Amino acid sequence: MLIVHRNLLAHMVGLLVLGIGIGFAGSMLAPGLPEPIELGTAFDALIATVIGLAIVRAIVVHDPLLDVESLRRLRG
Amino acid sequence: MTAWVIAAPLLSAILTIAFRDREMRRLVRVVLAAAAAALPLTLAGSIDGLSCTFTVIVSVLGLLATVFSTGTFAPDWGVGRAIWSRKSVYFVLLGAFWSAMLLVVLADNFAALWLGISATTLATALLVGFSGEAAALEAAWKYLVLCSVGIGFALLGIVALAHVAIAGGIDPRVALSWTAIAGHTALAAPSLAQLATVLMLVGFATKAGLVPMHAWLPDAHSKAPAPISALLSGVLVSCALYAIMRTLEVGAALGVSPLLHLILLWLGATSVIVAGALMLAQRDLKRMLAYSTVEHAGIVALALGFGGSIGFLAALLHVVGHAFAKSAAFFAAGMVQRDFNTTTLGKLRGLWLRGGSGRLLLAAFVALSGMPPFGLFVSELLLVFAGIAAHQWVPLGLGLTGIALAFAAVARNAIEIESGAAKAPGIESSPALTTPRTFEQRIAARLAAVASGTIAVALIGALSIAVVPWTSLGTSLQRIAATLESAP
Repeated sequence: MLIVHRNLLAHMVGLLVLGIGIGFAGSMLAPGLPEPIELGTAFDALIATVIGLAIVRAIVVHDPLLDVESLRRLRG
Repeated sequence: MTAWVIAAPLLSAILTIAFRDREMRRLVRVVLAAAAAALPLTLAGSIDGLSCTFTVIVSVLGLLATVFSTGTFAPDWGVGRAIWSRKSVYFVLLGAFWSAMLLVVLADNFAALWLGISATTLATALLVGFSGEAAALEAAWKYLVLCSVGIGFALLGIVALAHVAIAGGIDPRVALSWTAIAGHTALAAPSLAQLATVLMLVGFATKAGLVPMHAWLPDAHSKAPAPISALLSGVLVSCALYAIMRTLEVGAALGVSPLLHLILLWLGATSVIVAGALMLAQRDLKRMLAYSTVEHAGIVALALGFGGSIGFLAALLHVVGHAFAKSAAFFAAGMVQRDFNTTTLGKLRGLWLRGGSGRLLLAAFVALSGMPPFGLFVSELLLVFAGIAAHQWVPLGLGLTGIALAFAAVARNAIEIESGAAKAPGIESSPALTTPRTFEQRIAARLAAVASGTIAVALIGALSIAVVPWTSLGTSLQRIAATLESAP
């Protein structure tokens, strides 16, 4: 999702899946860790998505297509 | 108690919104921020030396950034251009950022530390895009995505570390506490331990902006409002380096430190030389300062990679000195931006004759290029000693070349923008310099005084760290550095 897609919303989905996936891997690999840790990681992924969507909403004004190619101004 | 200390900056920012009167709100904000900065004093004695050192950095610079923001909050930061760009939101996010950094340095286990680091990304992504300009939004987007993925790697490493710890017979409830892991020497599974610590190292190095994971840093640090840039560069990078130091501590206990030292050595050497070369090519003041952050993070990584008690002492001193010097530089850059409406290096001329901001900027430049009497001189000297002691000639050579390149870049730009006549074409005269007549101008002059004071305090911090090695504070820092070194 993060590498092959060119749309910012697809990137956002990719990021959410990545975050939740790692949290899930955590509960498989190390069972018995305190609950707040797992809740914290999942909550973190959700907040990241919400903030990402807020930024996407602001970027829409500059580029209605939400193409990553439009995010190439800053370099060097 | 710790929870209250950590939450205090955020709570005080939220509490301030309740006051309606503008002058009153300013006063309350500064007073509450000072209280929140003083609150960690109640924890003295219950946290270890490394946490203590970094808590001082976070609290002092968090307070200075709040004061500076209160003094210079400007409409041209883009209020109202994006849905979140409001003054109240700015200060709440600043409080959240400060709280998250306190969580990083006061946590006693990797899970809380990870949550803190991740929360700093979330709190500052919107602040980086605060101006609502296309370039700032682009920077915020890259920052959010790259840092979230990087910190995801760190989480994967932490989870693997928990697996190793639990398999080694540590109680799951304390499996991620570094004291528990360091006290438990009979942990097998070295390959999994290697994987875990390397993943953690890479994740935290992304946050510290080490090459090749630095792509987001110059964008984010140059597009954020000046006080936020100061905190990102001075304090957040320090927090990421703190996480790396903790990883090293655990790595030593697990017996994987040679590998970690090797990785840090090369990450550091590459960062210093790449950032030094790129600094020469920059055309924007804040962007050049951002690359300088990559360079200094590289120096710290290099010092950690050399290891030994001198290397760790150099790393600690460098983190502290850089935190103050870089914050002062970004505060000064913010003043320059406010006074002259630009940070493009080609357009700035004759800053020395145009008042406080230019002179403070020059002082910050001197501090950052590692010249005496500032603290970075001492730590870079110690870095060379550590490199010689470790017989790592190639990384040391690369690092010194990079430092020389960075020095050349800073010196050239300092001479270019400071020299020249006060009246250069293309720059309007500074509002802070003309005799104040209207009420607004008087306010502006007063706020400029507040801001200059802030920069001066940060500079004194960078200066005073130079005397540390010869005082009792120096011996305690050496003792802290020794805890990093101790392998079972």
